[in-house]
Amino acid sequence: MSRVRTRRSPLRRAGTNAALTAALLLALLLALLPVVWVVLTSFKPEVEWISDPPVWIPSDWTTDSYSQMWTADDGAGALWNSLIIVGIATVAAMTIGSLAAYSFSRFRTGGRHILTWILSIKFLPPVVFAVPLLIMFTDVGLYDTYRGLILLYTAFQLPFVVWLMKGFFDEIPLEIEESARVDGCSWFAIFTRFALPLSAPGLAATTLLTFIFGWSEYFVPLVFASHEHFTVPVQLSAYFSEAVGLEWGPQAALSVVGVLPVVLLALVIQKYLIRGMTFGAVKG
Amino acid sequence: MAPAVLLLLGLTAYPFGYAVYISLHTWKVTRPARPFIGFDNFRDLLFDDERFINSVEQTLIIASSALVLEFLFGLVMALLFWTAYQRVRWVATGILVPMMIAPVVVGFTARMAFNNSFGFLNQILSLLWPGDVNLQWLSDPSLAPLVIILADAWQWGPFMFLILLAGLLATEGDQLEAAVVDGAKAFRLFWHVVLPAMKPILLIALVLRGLDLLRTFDIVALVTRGGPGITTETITYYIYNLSFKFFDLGKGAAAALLMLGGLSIVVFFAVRSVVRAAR
Repeated sequence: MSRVRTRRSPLRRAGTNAALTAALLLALLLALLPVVWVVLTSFKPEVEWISDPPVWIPSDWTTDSYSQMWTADDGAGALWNSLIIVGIATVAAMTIGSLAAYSFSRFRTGGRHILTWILSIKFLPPVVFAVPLLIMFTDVGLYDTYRGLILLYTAFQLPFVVWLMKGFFDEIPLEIEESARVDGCSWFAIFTRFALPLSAPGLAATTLLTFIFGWSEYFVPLVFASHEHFTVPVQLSAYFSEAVGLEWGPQAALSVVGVLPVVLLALVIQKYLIRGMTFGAVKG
Repeated sequence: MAPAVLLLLGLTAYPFGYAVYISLHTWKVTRPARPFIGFDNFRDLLFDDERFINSVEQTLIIASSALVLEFLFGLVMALLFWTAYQRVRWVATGILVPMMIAPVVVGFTARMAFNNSFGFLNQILSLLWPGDVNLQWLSDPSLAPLVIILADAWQWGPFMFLILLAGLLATEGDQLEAAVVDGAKAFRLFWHVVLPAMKPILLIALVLRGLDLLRTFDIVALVTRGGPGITTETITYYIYNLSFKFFDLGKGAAAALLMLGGLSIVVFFAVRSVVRAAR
């Protein structure tokens, strides 16, 4: 590549740089402008939510939307539900999933077909299983309970955890574990004492990504929860169905409080994002 | 491993069998009688239900347009930033943001942005275009699918960009230099050297995004609810309507199984190619 660059005249290089910067800024603007709009809307007084022509900067900055969202609309409750359900399900999926991933990685348990089957599940639309599962859950009293929702979230997160963690375990050199094995360590001890610590960054990234994906899940709580157990995404969509008119401000406020922190979390593990979103297929 | 497989089996295999059973009956929440009708629900959907056919068409139109749009955006951006990546890393961070936002919020944002009176999109377009742009994005049947496509592209274009960039950065420098020394022109260079080297990653990106697009639900639910009319009703959204709005569980299950059948074929080849490319 260096050869290509040195051949260019400095003038032309400056031109390309300017064009590059312009394209770059345009892309950045495109990506961030709608987000800025939502944040600004959350601070607007009610008349400016839907003023025509649109107003960008609130004439009078107010946190009314936040207080309405938090108490009257019970955004606090939705946030709490999301934390409980997604939090516990993430821990459960990580525990079951990394154990499975380790056995796939080291012993090739069940062969490639089980692994492929597990991955396929991730691609099936949940709507296919919704009705039978709903009937089943109602029969056993799991509909609209934390337990039921946590179970579903855990199951839907598992394929992701298994595939990603298997990739991280595959990268640990076998020699360490083999020598520990010779010294008389059990496989479980090797798993907890060597495999897990050695894949710590991967483990952390997978946990965070699992949490983030669970946090965004909309369909499962939409079908399997009633108002009492609404998570943040369903609560957000509920603003459209209620007969109170469209509450753009509080809805924007809930987006800001309920979603943006998770986005910031994602930036922390940027390095692993592509890897995570491609199920480990692209190491990035 | 056993717990993982058991859990997944319990939550997929059993419901699958149950869905088959439901689909073979007239099963309506409002009616207690549930007579066995064989494959009538399936026949009905395939040959007598224009709404089902419509949903398949709309899904394919929306999915393929969004995929092409995202891919082209990603490719152009990735090629632009390839050589300058180290200097402009921070931009990648900014571009990541839409990708991590919950689809529900993307839908909510799109619903505001595309509103014809208070949405900022018409406002911005009016600045760029002579005259006052007043497009009825959400109520014009020919524009509404475009809103879904654009909203999805806004969220996932960056994903394509990053994944293709990762592919470009991984291509071998030596091979490229050799080709340059041989005097290969930019296009030939791209076509014969860069593209083949990127093939596995391209495949993964297209397959993952394509599969996701075929089951588009969240954005539709938040932006248009399938409307105006049924112009943005995707398959998953129609299945949802059948089961949870019309309470026709039999037909809903049949539609779900038809989708599952169609998707399984795609998934089978897709997963196989991804597993191969990953190695």
